[in-house]
Amino acid sequence: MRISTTKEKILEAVVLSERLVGKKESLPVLSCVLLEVGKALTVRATNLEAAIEISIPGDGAERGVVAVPASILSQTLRSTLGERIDLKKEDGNLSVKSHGATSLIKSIQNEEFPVMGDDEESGGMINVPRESLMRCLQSVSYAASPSMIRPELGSVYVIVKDGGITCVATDSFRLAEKKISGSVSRKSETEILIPLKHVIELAHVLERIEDDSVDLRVGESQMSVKASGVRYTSRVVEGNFPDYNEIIPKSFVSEATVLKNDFSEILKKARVFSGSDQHVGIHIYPKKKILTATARSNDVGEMSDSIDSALSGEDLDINFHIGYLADCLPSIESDSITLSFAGTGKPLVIRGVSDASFTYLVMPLNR
Amino acid sequence: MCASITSTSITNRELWQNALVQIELGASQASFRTWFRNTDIVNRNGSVVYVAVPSKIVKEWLMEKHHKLILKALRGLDNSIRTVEYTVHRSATPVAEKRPARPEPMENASFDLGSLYIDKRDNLNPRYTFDTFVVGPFNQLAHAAARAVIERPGLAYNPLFVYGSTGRGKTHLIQAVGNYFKKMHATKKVLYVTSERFAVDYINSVRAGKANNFKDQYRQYDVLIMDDVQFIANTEKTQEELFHLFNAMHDNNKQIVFSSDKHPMTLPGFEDRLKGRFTAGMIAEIPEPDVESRTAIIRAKLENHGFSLPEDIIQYIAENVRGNIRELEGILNMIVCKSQLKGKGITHTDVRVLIKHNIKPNKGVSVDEVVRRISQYYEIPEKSIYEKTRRKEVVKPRQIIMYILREEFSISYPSIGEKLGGRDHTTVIHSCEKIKEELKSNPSLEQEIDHVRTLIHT
Repeated sequence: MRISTTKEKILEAVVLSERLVGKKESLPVLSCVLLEVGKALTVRATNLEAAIEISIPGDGAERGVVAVPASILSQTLRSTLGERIDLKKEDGNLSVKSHGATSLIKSIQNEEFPVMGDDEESGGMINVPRESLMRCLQSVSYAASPSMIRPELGSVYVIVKDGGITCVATDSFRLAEKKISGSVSRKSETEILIPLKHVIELAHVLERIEDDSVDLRVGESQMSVKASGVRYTSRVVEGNFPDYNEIIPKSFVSEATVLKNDFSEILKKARVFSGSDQHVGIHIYPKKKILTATARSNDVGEMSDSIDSALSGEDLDINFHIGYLADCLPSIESDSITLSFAGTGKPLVIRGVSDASFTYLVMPLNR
Repeated sequence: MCASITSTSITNRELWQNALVQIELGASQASFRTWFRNTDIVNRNGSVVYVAVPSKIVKEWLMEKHHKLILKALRGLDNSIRTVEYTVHRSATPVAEKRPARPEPMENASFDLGSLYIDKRDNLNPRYTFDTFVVGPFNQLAHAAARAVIERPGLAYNPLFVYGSTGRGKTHLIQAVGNYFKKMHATKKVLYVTSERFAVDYINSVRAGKANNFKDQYRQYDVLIMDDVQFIANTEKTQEELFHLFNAMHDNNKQIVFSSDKHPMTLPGFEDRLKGRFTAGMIAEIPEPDVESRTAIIRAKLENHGFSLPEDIIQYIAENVRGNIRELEGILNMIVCKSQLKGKGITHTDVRVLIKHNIKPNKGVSVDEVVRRISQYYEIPEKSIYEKTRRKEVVKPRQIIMYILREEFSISYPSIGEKLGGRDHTTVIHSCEKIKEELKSNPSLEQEIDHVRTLIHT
């Protein structure tokens, strides 16, 4: 096996692959990236639930396969100074040469490196805009539960329907929904539940692809996203996502419109004083035209701060977990946001002003 | 839980455990740990064994590299096995991730998602299974009937008619039948529908001029589960449609399951021929749970929460929260939540206060609302209640209103009188006493009042 390529390309491929590789695998080959040279160089990695395959061009190719530990290869490449990298299999091990530097990385038996089945034949292919899919996933993924005890809550629900993409995630304390319409062929339809950890990887991969659109395939218990030179595959969960539209309140008792940055600032201040509880009280008094946030803890002290806001409806005092409120703010593109309160014990709805694409629901504290 | 279900699943597990021992000998340790982690036998259908694996990558690997070894190991244990099929777990939870020993703090309120998990193809909520159904003396009969139905669908009892007051577990039981069926017979089609949904579907299809499609659509199912049939009372055409659907399914030995809040024979607003069909199979009542069953239910629910309570408190709750299991669940949620907020054990007094405050109907319902709902129930004009009329059809509802206001909302006699058109408080006392007396001898009145009560609280 032999191939020459640029440092930039191979380093990026190896770094992206390394993220997937398991840390403590009982099968050593699973901590490896598999380098295969055919016409081009293909870098592969898998943790059995997700897999990535990246092809990069090179010259002087001679066919062959070698598996080397991902972390060793990535560290070697990172510290290499030259622009051009020559890879060659020597006595079964991998030699990496560049600009006078030579490293020989011990390879690992690759017979047990999993086959990554092609799923070209299974399921229909949907062409989706890369950026829409990425933004959709990133706008909601933080609201998914970190635990997979209830798989549908530990996943992001992705719906392709009516020419648009919708992503939803909830850990039952808050829920985020992002809709981007008019970006997919109207004929395409699919619904999948992608586990959170794979969503994070997928979004990361999408960030690093240059193509404008990617091919999404949903097959038997897995999905894949393919763009030029990269294919990312992960398992999907079978299950039902709750019919979340039922929990979005239809009527509200009070509403407040504030500048997003103002709101973000008072939450930051409240966080300092809220101690380990991370609780904040939101108080709105439409007649007095003020929205106040208060926080206190026995160890730190207490704070109270008001911001300018347009208010309507009833007076309300309601407590939230700061993180649950603040999490959604980076996903809102408008300058100002509307907080719509459905009453005590009911979810608060946060939306960007004149932006119907994003909806965030958060439940208050129990007292 | 159904004995036959447990026995097969244990055999499957044991079979796989024994096979794994064999397989481990034939593979390297690292390879065994990697590829056979989180695998299980999910199903066995005669000579075919279905092995569930965590992902498609593992599935392909096992098929390609270890299939012979697996088949050999399984055949060595049971040579009736001919084939092994691999499927990916529906929702493989990594084994390492156990439930946290202590439940997460429930200080933050959460969405009530429980009832929103609905499979769009069959409307079934996967939460309702036999595993989570608590069997006690009160629902033993209904449970046994449901089990008989799933063992010999369409033949044992067709239809199965389950009835009982609200919050007794009817929906749970009949949905469990559907879910079990779905699990065991992947090819058969189950549909769970509320009678209300059925009526709406029918009306829509008639409006769209597609009544025939409606017939075909419902007749394709192998099991039809219709919840709360009482809601299609007095709907002549919908009932006729149900009658024909019933006959079509029954003739083809397709299983039908109904639930309702009353015995089919006492269902008002139903045609006799339909009532006759309802009673043709098996009728099972779910009466009020007895104290022992309530205790068992409380224990099961607490276990779900990963929570425990002293025995005497469980007893106290079981004795004081009667009838409605949903109410019982509500109280338990509150107790769990409260004790987590306080960060220490809950005392007898706390529980007593919680029950006292929460078991009584919420005070949000106004007197006018009660009058409106009850007069609607009896189909009399609302304002006649306030008038001085002594017509028979008004007097009885008026007395029931007084009784309900007194018993359920603890409103004083004089203020009841005042609110209902300026009557003397002695009139109110007399009315309440009269209803109380009559309740002792007239069970149908009791049922009426039960009905009225649920009407007010929903």
